[in-house]
Amino acid sequence: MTGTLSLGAVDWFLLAVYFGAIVAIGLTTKRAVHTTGDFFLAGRSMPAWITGLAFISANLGALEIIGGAANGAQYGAAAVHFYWLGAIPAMVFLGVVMMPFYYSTRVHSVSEYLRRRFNNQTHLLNSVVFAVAQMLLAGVNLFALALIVKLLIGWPLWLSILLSAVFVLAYITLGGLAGAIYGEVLQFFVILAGLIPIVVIGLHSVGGFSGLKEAVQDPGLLHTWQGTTPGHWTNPLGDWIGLAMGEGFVLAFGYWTTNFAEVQRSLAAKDLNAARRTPLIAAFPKMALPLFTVVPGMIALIIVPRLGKPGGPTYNDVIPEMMQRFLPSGVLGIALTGLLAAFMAGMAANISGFNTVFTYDIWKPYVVKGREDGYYLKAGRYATVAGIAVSVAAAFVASEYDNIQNYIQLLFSFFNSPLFATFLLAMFWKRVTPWAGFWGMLSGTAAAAAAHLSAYHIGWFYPGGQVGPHDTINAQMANFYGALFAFAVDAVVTVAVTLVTRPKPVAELAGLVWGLPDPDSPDAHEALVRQPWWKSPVVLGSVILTLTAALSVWLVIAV
Amino acid sequence: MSDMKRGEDPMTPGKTFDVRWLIAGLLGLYGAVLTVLGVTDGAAEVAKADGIRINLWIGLGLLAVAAAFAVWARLAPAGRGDR
Repeated sequence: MTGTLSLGAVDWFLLAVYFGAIVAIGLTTKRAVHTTGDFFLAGRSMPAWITGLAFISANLGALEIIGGAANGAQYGAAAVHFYWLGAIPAMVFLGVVMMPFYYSTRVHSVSEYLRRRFNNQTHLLNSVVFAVAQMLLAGVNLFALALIVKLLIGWPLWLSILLSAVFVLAYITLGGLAGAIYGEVLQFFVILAGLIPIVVIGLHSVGGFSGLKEAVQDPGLLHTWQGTTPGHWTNPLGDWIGLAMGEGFVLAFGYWTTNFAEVQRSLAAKDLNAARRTPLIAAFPKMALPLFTVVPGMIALIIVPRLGKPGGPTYNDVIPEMMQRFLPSGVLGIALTGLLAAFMAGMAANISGFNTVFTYDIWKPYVVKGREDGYYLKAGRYATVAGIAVSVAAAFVASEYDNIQNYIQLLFSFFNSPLFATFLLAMFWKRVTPWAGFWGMLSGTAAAAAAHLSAYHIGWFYPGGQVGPHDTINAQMANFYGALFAFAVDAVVTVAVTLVTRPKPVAELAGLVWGLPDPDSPDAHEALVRQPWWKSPVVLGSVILTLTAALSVWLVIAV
Repeated sequence: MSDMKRGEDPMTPGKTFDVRWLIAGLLGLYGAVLTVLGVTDGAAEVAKADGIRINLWIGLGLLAVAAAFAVWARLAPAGRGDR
């Protein structure tokens, strides 16, 4: 970008109105917050469309938008895999299969499920890792925000870091999860209103989709599944083993089904059916998102000179470049608002996940036990302040990788990918023992770290199959395989430890394991209610998977 | 687990505060501002957007979405009959 955006008075007005609304949300929802259940779970009162939109928004932080556009420019059409393959099947699985284990057992968090299913050690390990990771992620979000604001408006880094931290602080410490969720719903519409003009004008300027296809120089950038033969891959994301198994199965399922920052939105739903439909409702907008991220990235390759080349703008500059080039005052203000809102929503999701796990899973069971509810409500608010303070500090630390999303995925493959192996075994095999959960998770994380360190010496991950002195590793492919390795190690260790240790009595596992229903389940009455087909998770899930498969096939044939 | 009973409390946020009105209000205001801008945009603004009167179209779209949320919130008030 040359110079900052030329913002008019009307753009500042639109921005100010949004942040006024966000503060109003905090103040309004605060009146309904009396207990920890209100603060951390929004009183389990939300309809599915609200939690569904919050679910997608919690993952539509500006990191994902900026990073998605960067992936579109760097990997081309193959970047749709991060949506259709790397999210939707996992979201359907969460809604259809796993949600009853979370919602009907009335756990407050994903970590608490581990405490009930395994033991305190497993629980504490997972809680601490999650809490630390969320603060780091919030810090990464903040840092990215500050970089973008500096690029767009010219403010110094420290000013935007402090300002946005204060706004997030305001609406989460006041309104708790309800404040975060309402903010996310609002953000969803504003970010779309900001991205639509970029896509419309961008496509118009290159002559629509057919013009885009003709103008893309490198045919590899039009390939989604082409060129994914193991050992001879030419696809920018490597071979199909890494893609389908590493990204589509291990990484995606690990992220979407066990990441509490996402699952928490479903837990705020008013009943089990609404909770199960939360990720399913979110899957529909998720399906359309490549249009708003990947497509602008590919357009930018054509219209922005030297994009991603030495001396030119970086891939992360795609959205800012397009805003400056195309948007007149008015839609420009909305796009800027949407981007800033998305950063804060992403951070708010991290912080509201953090404060819940810190209070319910670390402070209450292990540090200060047995106090009245009001004490823990206060503790939750202090934890929010402390979490934001740490993330502000972390914001200045991490910037070693040039593609932000690679950094995030690196974190995921260490923590999240082994986690899904543990959950899968825990939910479907009642024999899995408490200590198997602990050692499985720990060894899986160690395996992920080891895989990352050794990948650079393995020719399989390099174009041509050999480590040459001037070759660069396919980092995404190495991540996918690393996740796969971590998953396998976790599963093997979990099974091995299970065979030599004592399982939990079956009576303690009711509602926690497939095939052992809880006769006293608070949601038992719902099983008797016959839902219309459009409220049935199985029907919705099938529709989503069919549509996604059709889109994927169409993309291979059409381009 | 006394905090689990809050779902039936009339003071829960979903009942006292309907986010649909907030969506309708914010998008309605944004839509109105953009529509006016779109009508008055000069040649420079239209040229910047590759010949599209973008403020007008996005403004009208926002007004339509805002109207839809207002109608929905009016016809099915929170607390009964929502999805």
